[in-house]
Amino acid sequence: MKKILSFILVLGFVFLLAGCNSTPDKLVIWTFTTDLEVAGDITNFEDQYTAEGKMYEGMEVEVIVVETATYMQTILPVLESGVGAPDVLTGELDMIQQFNEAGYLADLEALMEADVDVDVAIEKADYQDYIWQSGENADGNLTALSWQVTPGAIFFKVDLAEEVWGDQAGFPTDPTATDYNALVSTWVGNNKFDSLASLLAAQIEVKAFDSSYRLFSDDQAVRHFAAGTDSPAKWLDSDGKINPAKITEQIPYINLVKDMYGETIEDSLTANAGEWSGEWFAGMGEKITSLDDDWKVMAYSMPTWGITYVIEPSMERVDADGDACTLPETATDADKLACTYKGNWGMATGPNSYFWGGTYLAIREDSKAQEVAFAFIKSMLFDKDRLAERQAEDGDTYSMSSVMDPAIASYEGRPSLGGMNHLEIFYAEAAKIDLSNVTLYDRRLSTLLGNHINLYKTGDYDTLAATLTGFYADVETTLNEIYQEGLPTS
Amino acid sequence: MEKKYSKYGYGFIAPFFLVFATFSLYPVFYTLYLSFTRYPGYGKPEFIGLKPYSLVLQDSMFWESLSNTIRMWGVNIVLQIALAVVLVMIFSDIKYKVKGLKFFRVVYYLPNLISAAVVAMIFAKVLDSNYGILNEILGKMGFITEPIKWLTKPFLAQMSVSGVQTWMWFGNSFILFIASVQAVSKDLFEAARVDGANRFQILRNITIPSIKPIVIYVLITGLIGGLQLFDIPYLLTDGLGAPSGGLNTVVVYIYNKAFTYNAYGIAAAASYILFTIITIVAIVFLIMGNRSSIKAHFAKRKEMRLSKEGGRNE
Repeated sequence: MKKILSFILVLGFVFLLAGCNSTPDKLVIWTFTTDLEVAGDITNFEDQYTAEGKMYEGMEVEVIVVETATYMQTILPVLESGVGAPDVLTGELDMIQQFNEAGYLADLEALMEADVDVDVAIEKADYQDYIWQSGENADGNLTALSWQVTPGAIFFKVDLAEEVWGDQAGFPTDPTATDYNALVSTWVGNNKFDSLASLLAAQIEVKAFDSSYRLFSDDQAVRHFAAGTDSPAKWLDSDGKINPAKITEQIPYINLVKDMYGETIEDSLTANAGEWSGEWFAGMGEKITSLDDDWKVMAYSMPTWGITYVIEPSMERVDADGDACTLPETATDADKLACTYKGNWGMATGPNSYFWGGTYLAIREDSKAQEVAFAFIKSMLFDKDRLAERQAEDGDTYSMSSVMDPAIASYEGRPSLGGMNHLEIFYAEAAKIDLSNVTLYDRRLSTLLGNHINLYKTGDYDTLAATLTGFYADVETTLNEIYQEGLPTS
Repeated sequence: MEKKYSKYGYGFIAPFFLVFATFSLYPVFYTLYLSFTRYPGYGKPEFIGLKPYSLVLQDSMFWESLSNTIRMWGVNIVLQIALAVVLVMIFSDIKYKVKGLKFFRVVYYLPNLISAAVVAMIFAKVLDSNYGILNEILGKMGFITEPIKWLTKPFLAQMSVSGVQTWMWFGNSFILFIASVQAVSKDLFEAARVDGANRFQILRNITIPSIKPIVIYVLITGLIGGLQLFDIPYLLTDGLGAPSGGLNTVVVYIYNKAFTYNAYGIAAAASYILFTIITIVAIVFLIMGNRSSIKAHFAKRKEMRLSKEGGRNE
């Protein structure tokens, strides 16, 4: 028995020593996206830093991917306890804000300053303002940074727009013009998508033109324009309480959603096909088929990544004769050439600039492998040659001008958008984004208000005042710390 | 010697208690602690006393979610037991002598083996008002001209959830019921039949009494599970209780408070309120189901007391 006990004690001691080992042998990365692996970022880091003869030779890189929906509830306890916590972590903006609030993130700017290869001033000038600004904590220290900007737009089918509005004054008249999609986009953006009132009028016009046509698939498409301005009010006032001005700002949007609603597609201004549903995707192609009818959807609100990963895979394609064709599941480059995009899409900015998503990179404050973690960040964010190659590969809009300026200048245009230079539009939109009004509560309050707007549109609330009163009651229970009396009800 | 070995026994059972304490007991007490705090999921919880309880108890949505849960559970449990009893009647009827019980037991139990997430995804597609297969079939067969709003009208959505739950769980109840009926001697059924008892007399006097303890078991476990109804209503629509809050069950309410709105203190308080409600209802069910044995127990105690008092008086 004594021998067994001694053996267990020795074993425990060995494990204890192993735990105390100060040289990390593994870099742990937690992420909500498979992007890092798919785009070859991990392989690139390994080639540069952990391969034979490199600075961190033999070091293992462990990537843990947790789906977005459960990312926060999985990572927060890990960060709180520190057990098994990552060295490098990714997050969307609101996640990064929560990490910052809790003090989990290392001062990236300090690490940059300590590194001879990185010049903070040059990098700050190179990055889009909103990306740099969004990565700063309450003390103004940079803790997270993203290689991409994710401004959004309204993508729409140019041929449907031409059918509906082609005879209106100023609508481009020459469909053979090389920049036809761009011209239509400008006209539609200026005349039909420029305000919440225009969006409502446009939906009515589309439905009136043909009862099977709809501008949007469902009302989620307009949620990005809830503020209706590029300078939105903050959700919280200077006392940290819910801001009455923000409520007033949301009222036109609430009324818009109410006006768009119909229980059946016939009654609705949308196709009642919820975001991410099969029908929603189908609408990006030729049509959606329901019980008795086919429905055509003209437009989708999507950010930068939406065109590549969401809309293009569902778009109509045509062969050399202009007939509809579909790509085989494992399409070769030759298949893609033989069956190309119809090129019938355009993109316009909506009533206000917005962004959606984006992957930020950060280092955990208590990481034992901060040096290696920073090397990874360097390989991802400050190696501009590699970033230029990456951008050319994925066609996404990046956040640094040293990468985007040449990319925009040499860009031949996106075939699916009829040759439009979407990078230029997105990059210009990104410059308009102002994050000074973002608070920690934005997503939660928007979701909470969204629930009550849904009750209003379906008739569970009779009036706007009842809707807002219900919302305030919910805020009082759920987020009591920001609730205050005397909020507006009209 | 015996004493020495008995000490080893504690070592052998220790792993279970360690796991139980870590993964069951600790969360139970930590949740209790959180229910007195304001906690966004990170940092240090701020102690605010009974405020989370008072906020939840005053929240009409909490009570609405409880009422939704009871409605969905109630319809489900009645349908589930009724369907299982009808099947038990058919399969235990000595006149019908239905063959293939083993096959049907497997078939009826199959829906219970499919993950709730898959079931919800399938039914979300099937029941979609505008694009669903069910409305399409009904329409093509000429039964409907307007789509039925399975998932957009609160009452229909709740009944859809009850239907799905019944489909998933009736096989489980059937297996339990048929097992207890099979434990009863066939001679009893035959004797009843020979004595001229009809099918309903057999059901009332033999079948139901034989499955009564199992019905109570199904009711109590169904109640505990039913009041924690989450996966199907959460996944069938938007996860926030649509349509019109009709699918907002107590656990969907708790989940969203914690993981959508980061209000862990509120969620913890609501969890403890639900725990209290389940405990009370389970006790009521237990008492109702064991009325005769409880009465007998108290009658026996009274008799013993009287006989003791009688003995003293003598």
